[in-house]
Amino acid sequence: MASAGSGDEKAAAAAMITLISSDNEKFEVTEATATLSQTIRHMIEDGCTDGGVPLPNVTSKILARVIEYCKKHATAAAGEEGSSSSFSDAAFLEVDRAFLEELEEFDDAFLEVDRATLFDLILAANYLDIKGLLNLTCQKVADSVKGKTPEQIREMYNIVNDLTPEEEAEIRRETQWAFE
Amino acid sequence: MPYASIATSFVQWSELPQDACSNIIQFLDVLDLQRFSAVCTTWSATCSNINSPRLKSGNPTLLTSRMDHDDGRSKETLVEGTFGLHDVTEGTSFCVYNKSLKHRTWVGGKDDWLVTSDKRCSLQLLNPITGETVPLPSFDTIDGIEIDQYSNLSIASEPYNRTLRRVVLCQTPSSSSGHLALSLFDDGVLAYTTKSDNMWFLVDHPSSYFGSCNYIPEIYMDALIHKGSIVAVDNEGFVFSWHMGDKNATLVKATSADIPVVIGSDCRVFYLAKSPGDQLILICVQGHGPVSSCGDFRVLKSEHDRFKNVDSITLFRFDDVGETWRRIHISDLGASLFVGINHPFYVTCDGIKPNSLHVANIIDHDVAIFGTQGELDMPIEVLNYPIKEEARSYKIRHGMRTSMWFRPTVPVK
Repeated sequence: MASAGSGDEKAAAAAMITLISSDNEKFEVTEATATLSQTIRHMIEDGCTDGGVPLPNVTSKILARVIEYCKKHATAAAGEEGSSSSFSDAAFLEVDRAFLEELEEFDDAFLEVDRATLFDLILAANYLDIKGLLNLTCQKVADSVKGKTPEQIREMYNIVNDLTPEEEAEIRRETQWAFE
Repeated sequence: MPYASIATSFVQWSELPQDACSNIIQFLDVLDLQRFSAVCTTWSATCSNINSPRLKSGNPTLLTSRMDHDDGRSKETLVEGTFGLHDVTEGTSFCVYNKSLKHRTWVGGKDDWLVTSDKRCSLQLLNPITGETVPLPSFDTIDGIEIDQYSNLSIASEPYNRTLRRVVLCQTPSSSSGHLALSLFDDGVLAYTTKSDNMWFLVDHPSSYFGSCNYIPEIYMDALIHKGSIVAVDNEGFVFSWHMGDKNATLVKATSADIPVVIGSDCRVFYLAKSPGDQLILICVQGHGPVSSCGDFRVLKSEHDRFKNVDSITLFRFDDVGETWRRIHISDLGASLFVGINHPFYVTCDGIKPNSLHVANIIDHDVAIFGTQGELDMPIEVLNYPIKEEARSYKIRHGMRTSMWFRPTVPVK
């Protein structure tokens, strides 16, 4: 029936959210994708998403990447719910595993970015409160500093050592060594 | 907003929001954290503000074999580079990994440096915080000792089989003149190496020193460098001192302290240290009972695993003017002293009983603490780590590392 069909379309259209980047580019995403961000979820709950969600802290370049991540992981979340609630046989576990592997590959490829982009992704994940993306990007930074000296870390991330010699001495010897 | 465009073109990692910074920290172990905290002010502040326990720079810290549940696959704990690290001031324990400790154990150390050895006595200095390593020369370089083969921390030179007991690190690579190390074997061989030599020099045997006695020490229990000389104490409590020459060191002095006889105490072990006023300190622990069973499971055999019960502890300070050993008490030290297979050090800080002596790896325990009570120096407490018994899920088995003191620092460079 025509009336019922248009009703469905209306429901589907309502489930779409418009995100607006700092450089005014508009991105149409499903609610499931958008609500991976706790910040946006709260905005939806508060009913203030009419006319789009302005994200003044995120450029279109970064927002496009964030949406790419959210789309993939929103599908993953939906898939997980489906399989865990109704199926438990080996075939489905197999599908599950394949899907998780694919997700891992996606994450690895997703992280193949330069340090400036990685930084912006962390800022965006932090601002949009996307737990998974924040963990993923932060782990990338953590892995890169493992086994590196402070000087190597500074060089890698272009950080100027702003610790005064006094502060350095304090960090070095929080507990005084006696008689030395 | 201008902020976003600035961030894209000119990234300021030091201005990472604190939430994101703490998120990075959760993926780092305590040793990584030491380095991370020294990068810049914001990162340092984040490290100080997080709730997760971390190592306090300079706190006396005990190194042990790994303490977490193993998977039961590897027979020896040594295969993995995982070990336990315990801040004894805070009572916190950590399980950490260092790839340079795979198939190796520590055989000595000073401050934040360890001396590590594989089973074939190939020695290396390691700073587990910065990851720096410095190789020590091979024992092949000892003049007068032919080595046929190496195995299980032994160097075989027929008809003898000498086993490495420990390496005393007297100066670390951070010292201005570079490292200086002494190696002690179980047959009384004592050798030294410095950064500039890249070979081991043998120390003269004191066999002719006592004239007709022809005295040969069974083994040296401890050694260190004092005022430019090598000083070592043997299993009888004789303290020898050598001048380091161009080649082998020559013996110049032998002294002994008047150690009180304790009836029923048939074993004595010795440690050397230096007083705050730079005088030599001799520590004698007397005890009895069967040999510690724990020692059998360690890769590195310790001469200090000799008894089950401590009967007494006596301290002496060497008077350079009178050339005599004077009896002192632990309370005279003026700070808390930490000894073991590490180079001895003093600490005064909260959480550590003042004027106490902390001996690592003794009588089946990780640590025994001694103090002065009235006129006597006596054991106050024995401890095993982790402090919480339920966290000590490891089983005692072969290939365990010897518990040793360590002092973590934050590297600035």
